[in-house]
Amino acid sequence: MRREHSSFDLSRARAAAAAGGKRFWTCLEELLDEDGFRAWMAGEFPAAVPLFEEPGRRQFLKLMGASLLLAGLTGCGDNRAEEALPYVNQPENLTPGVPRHYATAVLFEGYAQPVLATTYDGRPTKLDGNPDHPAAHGRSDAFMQAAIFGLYDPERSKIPSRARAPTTWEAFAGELEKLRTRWNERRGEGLRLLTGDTTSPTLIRQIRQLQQQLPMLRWHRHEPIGHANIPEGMRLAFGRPAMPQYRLDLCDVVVGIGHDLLGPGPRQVLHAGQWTRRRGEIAPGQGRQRLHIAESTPGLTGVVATTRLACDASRLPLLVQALAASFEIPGWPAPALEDDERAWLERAAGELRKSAGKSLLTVAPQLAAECHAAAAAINERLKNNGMTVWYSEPLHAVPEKEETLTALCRDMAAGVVDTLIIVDSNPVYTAPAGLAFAQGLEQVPHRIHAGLHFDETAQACGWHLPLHHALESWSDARAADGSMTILQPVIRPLYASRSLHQVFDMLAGIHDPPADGAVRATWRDAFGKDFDERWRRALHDGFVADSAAEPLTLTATAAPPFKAPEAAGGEIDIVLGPDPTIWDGRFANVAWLQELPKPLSKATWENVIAVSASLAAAQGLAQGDLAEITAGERRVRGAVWIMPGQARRTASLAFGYGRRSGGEIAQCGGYDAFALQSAERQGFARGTIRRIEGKAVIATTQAHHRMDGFDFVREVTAEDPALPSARTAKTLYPDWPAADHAWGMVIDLDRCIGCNACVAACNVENNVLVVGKDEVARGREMSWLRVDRYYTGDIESPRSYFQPVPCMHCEDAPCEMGCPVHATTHSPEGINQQVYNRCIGTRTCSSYCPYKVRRFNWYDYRKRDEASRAAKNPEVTVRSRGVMEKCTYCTQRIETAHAQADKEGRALRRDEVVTACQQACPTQAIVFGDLKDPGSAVSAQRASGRHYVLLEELGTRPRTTYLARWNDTPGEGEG
Amino acid sequence: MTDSAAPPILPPRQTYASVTDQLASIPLHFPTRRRWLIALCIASALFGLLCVSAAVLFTEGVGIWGINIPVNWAFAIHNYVWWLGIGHAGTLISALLLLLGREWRNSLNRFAETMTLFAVICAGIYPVLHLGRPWFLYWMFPYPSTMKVWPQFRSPLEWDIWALLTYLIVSTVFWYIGLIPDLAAARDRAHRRRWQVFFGILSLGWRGSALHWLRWQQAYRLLAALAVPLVVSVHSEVSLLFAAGTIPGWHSTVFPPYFVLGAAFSGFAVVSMIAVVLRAMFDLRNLVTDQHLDILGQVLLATGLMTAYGYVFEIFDALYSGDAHDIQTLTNRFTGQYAWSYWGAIAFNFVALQPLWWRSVRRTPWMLFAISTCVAVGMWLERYMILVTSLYRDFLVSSWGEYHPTFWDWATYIGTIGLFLLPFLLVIRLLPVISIFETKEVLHEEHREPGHGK
Repeated sequence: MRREHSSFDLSRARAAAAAGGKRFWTCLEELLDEDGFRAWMAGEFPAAVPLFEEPGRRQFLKLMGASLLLAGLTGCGDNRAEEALPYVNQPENLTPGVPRHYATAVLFEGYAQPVLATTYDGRPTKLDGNPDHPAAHGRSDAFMQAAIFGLYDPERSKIPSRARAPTTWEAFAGELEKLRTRWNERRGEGLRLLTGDTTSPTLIRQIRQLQQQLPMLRWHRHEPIGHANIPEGMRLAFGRPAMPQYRLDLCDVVVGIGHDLLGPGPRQVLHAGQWTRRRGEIAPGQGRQRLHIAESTPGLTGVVATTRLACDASRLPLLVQALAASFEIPGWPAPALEDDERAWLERAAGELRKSAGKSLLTVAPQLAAECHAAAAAINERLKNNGMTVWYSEPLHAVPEKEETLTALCRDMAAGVVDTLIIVDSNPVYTAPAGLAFAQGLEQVPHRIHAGLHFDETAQACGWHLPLHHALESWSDARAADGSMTILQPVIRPLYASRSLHQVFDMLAGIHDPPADGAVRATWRDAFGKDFDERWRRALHDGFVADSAAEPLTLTATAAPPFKAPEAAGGEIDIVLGPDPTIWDGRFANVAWLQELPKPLSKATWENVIAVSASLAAAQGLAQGDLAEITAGERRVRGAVWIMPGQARRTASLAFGYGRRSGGEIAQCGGYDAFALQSAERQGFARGTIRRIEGKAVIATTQAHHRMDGFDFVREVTAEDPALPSARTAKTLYPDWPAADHAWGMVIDLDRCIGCNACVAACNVENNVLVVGKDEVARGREMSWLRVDRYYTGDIESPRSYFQPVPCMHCEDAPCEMGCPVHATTHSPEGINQQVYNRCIGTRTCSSYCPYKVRRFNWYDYRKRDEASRAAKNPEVTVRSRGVMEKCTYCTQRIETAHAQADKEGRALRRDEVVTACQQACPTQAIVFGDLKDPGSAVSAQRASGRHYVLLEELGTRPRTTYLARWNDTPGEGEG
Repeated sequence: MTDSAAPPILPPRQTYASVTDQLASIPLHFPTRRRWLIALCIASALFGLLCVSAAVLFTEGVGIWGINIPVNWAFAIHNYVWWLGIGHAGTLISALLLLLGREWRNSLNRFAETMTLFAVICAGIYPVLHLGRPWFLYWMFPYPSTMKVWPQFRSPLEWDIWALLTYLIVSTVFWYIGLIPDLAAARDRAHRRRWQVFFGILSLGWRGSALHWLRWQQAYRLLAALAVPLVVSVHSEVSLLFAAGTIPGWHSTVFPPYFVLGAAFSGFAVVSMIAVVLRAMFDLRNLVTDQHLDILGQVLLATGLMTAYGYVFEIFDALYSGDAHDIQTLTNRFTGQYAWSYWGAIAFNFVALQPLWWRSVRRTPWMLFAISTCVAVGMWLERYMILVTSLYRDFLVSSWGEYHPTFWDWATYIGTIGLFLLPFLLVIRLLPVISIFETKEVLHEEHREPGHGK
């Protein structure tokens, strides 16, 4: 189109420019707004025409709205937005969607639990035991598995606060400036530090340095469960604090008095691994390890023990005393024992003697220090020292007498504490009620709390500082065997939190400390000149080579004279212990740990008061009744659980519940057992129990526990070591077309300690959703793998069994026949597949399933479990409402292995595929592999004489099978 | 059931015209408007409850019911079986007795068939409601999907959907064909234009010519011959829903006949109930006679005793097999948590049935009605018992659980009663409730040779 030119009028143009103000113009015609120009514009750039039109009111509002929105966007987040750009140069070895693994550790009571973290695009989704680590050997426990949910906990503390109002780290630094001046003036007098137990060399160094600057600063330690009596006992025995280290793998006989060696705790994986090695090595009747346990509360060790004595908590010291007397430890008179106690003790003492040098006596951590000293002396006489038990420096910094919580509470009440800094500890909740910590805290003018949650203590403190989760921070710690691990972050901090070490750097006056500065400084000294190399090596391996604890040369000859206190009549023993899934409450806000069934009661989402059947009968208590426990002035109320195998006059309570703050999930219910804790004696009280009005619904995943004469769990004995070989059921159906591999699983019931690691690992690996207490109570829990628990025999001293039950992957699967839409099918490799997107939810498969291993999405549970969204495994579909789901033998892992093998142009290696449950199991009870390969581990297991099929008579021909348990109980088994 | 000595089933002093007038006038000059309206209101309210329940169900998911693992089937499936069982009696009365030449059924077959139709619809909605993802129901059908996935033909659920649909179609067609001559009769007696058009269209141009009757007879008998085996096959198939599973208490070969007999039993009970009510409501004592009630009572007793045989055999089966799990399930039924459903079923089905041995009881409408109600309740308990007592404790003790119906379980079930009553009430309002021409057939037979039925 040709532009029409008219003559140019300068004055008009000037006037137009002046009138238009700041209007932009590109050419004179536009400035003059000539019709010709408009017409030309419309023809040449039709889309641009509206731009030149007068912006109307609507248009204005629209534009303003849009620009305001866009302006808002620029304010989103911090400068991370600029890093959200796609890579211009793809970093080497980083393919989106391909996981990377980092060796680091998570912390549990100050101990490192060495992990290998799987991360997808910078987002950790799964933790497993570090396979190279000498203490873990790739195994894990439920706490380690669930640590990932702790990281993503949406109720973690996100920002520093002062008097509950949000503030900044800079504000805290300013405050610190003022405080530091005062501390310096008074050389730290009145300044107190409270932490949990720690093994971190960096933290210890930082605190010691701080103490050098401020000599009057005192560092108190408070570990709610605590093993304080052990180093104290060693001090009595050896004249110096030490920690006993056990070698269960070298023991022919282990006698445990109240000690749940295989139970939950920082040493579970270590002990379970040792125990397994010995358990698996020797055939029965040829010197199998014999385990004798006396305990008041049924524990995991008692379940697998050769003999188990249910003994009231107040009588456990008497057993130690009797044992010491029988070994002629001076000053330990023989007490009067009851018949069953004496019988058990004589057998135990006899076997200890017979296997001198290869036996071990351990006593419960909560027993008096004298008992630990006696145990050390007895082990010395048996020449076990240096063989099955050795002593190391304590791994954690052992507090002096003036550094305990008791001393702190005394000083707070006396008003001599000016500033209290509480780091990663929640004493307002976990301190023994007898110490009246919360009241004392109010006397302290300056209270600073640093922690992961805005918990009870944070609420009681003026300042609250959010700490990094272990997976976000640089740190270091020692594992249960003493090896050092340098913790490296596997994700950028999610919130405005700082690491423990940064907080201590700040206390030392460093204004804006770097994330890894303190840790590097520690190790720069330790590693010396080849720092870079050794640092990189340590981070890569997940531990510092050859850093395990060194044995001390100690000889115990005597223990101080001791006489166990006589229990007063009328009252019962009250045992206070950690909860098996949420410990002392520190894991209480992790929904998955709340929903993980407690190993023995199978209760979820709350703690119960475990009592024996005879105590319940005497008090008129029934399962689920509410009861009140009174110990002196203190009392708690909770639901009663009649626990088979519980000592007659002992009630067992668990810590961790009855939280008043710290998150919606943490405050889900239960009672606060810390309220019964006295200042003097940890984990034990005497008192009474009585029934009160009301009944509770306890959400259990297994309501029935008697085998009712069936043989779901089978046993073999030395006389009869083999079961009849599996029958081959006749079937009308033709065999399935076979592929190169036939996957199968064998679960060794003799090794299962019911620890839940497999269940936790399965849940994390397979994105199994949490459903909440009400749904569990209605029988709708989602776990694909459950650990069934059965009892036989007398309810007071039953024989207990664990049986993990995943999908059986039947060859003739009733479920496959039932599904009308082919949503559950048989793979050529023998896996009973569940096709989620084909499932229409008729639930026929589950109705027909004889093992009831299938789980259904009754609601859209994804909405209920948003907390774990970031932790989802991208390799596994998250199931929606109305579909069935179940164990897949970790089919994603099988497929990944296939893909890898195809890429490398090779066949699958022997035992290359490892399922999540198998990987986690600390006792290697689960073996998975190719049944077609005669050399595979699973084929070898299947050839065992203990091999049997669950519900074999149904002819379902399962791929998952079991190895029977050995029964070596005297009189029943090998005798 | 009727022998040569039996008196004629219909009172002889009736003419063809009087019968036609009496029956055709029910829809045309509806007699009990008030009571009908009240019934309609109740039915609509119940139907509304069903709609609300379904809406909540579709938005929330089947979690609103009390089902769980292990009891992942309960109300939805057991009410499905119950409704379908009730439906079977209609077909049995209409088709089987037609083929056997039992003309007494001519007074009952129309409303029995109507009952079948709506009972099958009530049953039919359950397989949809019970799905986790009902919007994918169509995957049950073998349509040419791009993924080339077919339904799984080994699954009893797959057969189920076919059985149900076939049954629904055959019963609808059978019911409608049986209705045509009567629709024409109503058309001819209608005075108002609206009714004339309504019945005119529905009667498909029926003029009652000999050729029409011939074709009609052929079609009707052919369909009857199709429908009778369906009764047996459909409910046998429904029983396989259970028997095909390995669960103790289900996995039994006695199930198909046991279910079919139970179905007929519960169906005859509901037919008796409806017969008693309609007879009283529309004053039809001359057409639904005491003799009819007597026969219904006898059939009820016979099918009840046959069902009882199934019970006995189930016990024998479990004990004779010696299978520990089967015996466990049996013990659970006798003494377990849901023992009330077992003993309830025994009491309502078989104990309450015994008065029917007496002729006077059978001929007393209210007593027959009460006993029939007991049977309907008893059969409901039986279906509940079979489903829940088998599932709640199956093989592994560890996975035992409990089932407690929720509000929505009940709401959905009670709502289906509305779904049944609402169209049923509309049909008795709009169409002749008793087959006019077939009743006249009986009259004709009686007039020609007294002592009919031979």
